[in-house]
Amino acid sequence: MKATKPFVLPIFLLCLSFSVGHAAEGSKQFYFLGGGGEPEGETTIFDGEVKRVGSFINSSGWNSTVSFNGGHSKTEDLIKSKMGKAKNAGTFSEKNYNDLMNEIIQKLEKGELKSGDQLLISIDTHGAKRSAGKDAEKTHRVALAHSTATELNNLSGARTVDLDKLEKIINLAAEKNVKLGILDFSCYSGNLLNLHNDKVCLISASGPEQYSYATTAVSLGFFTFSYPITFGSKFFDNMKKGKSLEELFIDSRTTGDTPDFPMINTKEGLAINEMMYRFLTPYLNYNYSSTNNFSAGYVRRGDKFEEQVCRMESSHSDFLKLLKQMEEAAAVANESGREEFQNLREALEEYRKYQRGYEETLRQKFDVEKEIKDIFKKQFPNDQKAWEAYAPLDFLSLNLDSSITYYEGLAERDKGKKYFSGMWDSTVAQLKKQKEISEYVKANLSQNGLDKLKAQDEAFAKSGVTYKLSSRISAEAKKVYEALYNKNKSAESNPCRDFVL
Amino acid sequence: MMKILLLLISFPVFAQDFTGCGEYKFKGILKYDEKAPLKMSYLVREGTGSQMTFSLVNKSDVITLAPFIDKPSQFKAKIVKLMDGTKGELRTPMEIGLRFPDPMSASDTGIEKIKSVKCQ
Repeated sequence: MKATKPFVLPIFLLCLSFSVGHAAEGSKQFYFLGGGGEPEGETTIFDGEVKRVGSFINSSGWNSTVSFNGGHSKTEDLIKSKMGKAKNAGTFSEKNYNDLMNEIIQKLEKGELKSGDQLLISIDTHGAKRSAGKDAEKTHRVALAHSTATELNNLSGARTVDLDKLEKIINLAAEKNVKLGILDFSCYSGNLLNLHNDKVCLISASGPEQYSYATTAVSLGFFTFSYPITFGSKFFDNMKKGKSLEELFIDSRTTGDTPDFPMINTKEGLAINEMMYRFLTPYLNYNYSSTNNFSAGYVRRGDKFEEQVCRMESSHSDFLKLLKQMEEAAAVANESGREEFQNLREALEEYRKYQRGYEETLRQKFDVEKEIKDIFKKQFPNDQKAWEAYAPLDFLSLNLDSSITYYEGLAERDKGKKYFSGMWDSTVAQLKKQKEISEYVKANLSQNGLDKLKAQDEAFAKSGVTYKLSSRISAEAKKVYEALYNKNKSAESNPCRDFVL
Repeated sequence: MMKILLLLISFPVFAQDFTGCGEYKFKGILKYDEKAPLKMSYLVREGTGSQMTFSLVNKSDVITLAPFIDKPSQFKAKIVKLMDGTKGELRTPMEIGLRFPDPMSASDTGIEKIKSVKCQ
């Protein structure tokens, strides 16, 4: 009898274990939703993501369902060509969203998805800040297909749906031991973590107060490419069989320098959020293009301004102290990566230094407001009604001629109606007085005052530099996050580590 | 390498923020309104599903707010009567200033209570 060669048995056992493992492999279901809120056109900013996720769908063998976009011909073509293996559940409408959520709930309730099965839900669309007040949603609202913000001042035209239905799915999955992963890659997606349950994995592309970012495709005419330079694009790009959600999150989180704050609901992730998110948030504000949350963050009243600056200075100092403590703890433990804390501190100092300069111009602007008020009181003491209810600088910057013309038109139209014509006439008289006051003040404001106003205007005009400062902080904070996460990584398992693609 | 980033823009918040009579901070826009008693209304979240409409009921308030007709503005004012759904009245605006619309911020337009007062 031939003796079995020593390596044959292990190979046989290995083959057996693969075959048993395969036979016991549970159901793997993937839902990819989003692509809403985009302006009219053929393409969307989500096209790169469609390609990346399509690659996962086609190669992974996961049972996939897609409800994405609607109304953008090239994006829809991409969905057909790149996601051919997925069931297309139609455009990302409210009805389709609700139907799919109900479908998942039914699968969980009826046991179609059972213990050990995997369910991955991904939301990739435009997102809104969480509402305020007692009726606010737990998560936040996201944009649906066939709806564009037609007027950017009030964003009319956008249709949205809240993500609170995910809570029922989370509870059912936890109860039935179905492995659940939810990815929300929209703006303000950190609100997803309000649904935290320690039996499911939740990942967001940003914090509750930050935008998230997409990488647009670059067309070279004959070739279009989209290099993954943001958290979301890198995450989707890395989605390969065998990788865990935790691994994907950590590997993608250090990508790029966009001012975001991707989150994960593992113990380690939640602890880091608790420690640094609140401190870091103000430094992720910037002025750039139509975004002005850097300058808009300042109060507009001189008497409250110093109070605010004092709070900012104190918070800055506390954050630096915390980072210094972490750095010293790392030094005692003889760990590498101390320079990450130093670099973040330097980036924060650089941002704060810029803020201090900007604050000085605001401080001077408030001085000018005092000067204007003094002129009002001294020169127009009997016309208090014409100036006392207004912010002085805004009063001077108003185009009163257009208001005068407007109300003269109303007075002319209503001249037969005694009450209204009298009211419009009084309005025109007051506006004319205000114009006289405004012109007088502008002509008599000191040169020093005018220079101060000019300095603030220039500071605002140049404040786009805050994007760069904020990006540097974000890049350094991502390195600190990674160092802290890896240092504190528990040996225990967690739902994000257990969720292997 | 060419690097292009696009912000994922935010969308308006759908919230009712009237929590009883009081002094509020208003962020919205003054518009001519044929149906309003004095033909002028202050609109908050104009054009959205949660627009709030505040009528001006005092002639002096119409005159005071006139420089800001059709301009995004903000101020403090009183609400002394309970609102009827999304409709209400505002009185005695003060600290009136311009508002710089921020399409990225949900708090760009809305009302925020500063202090409570008894309803009349």
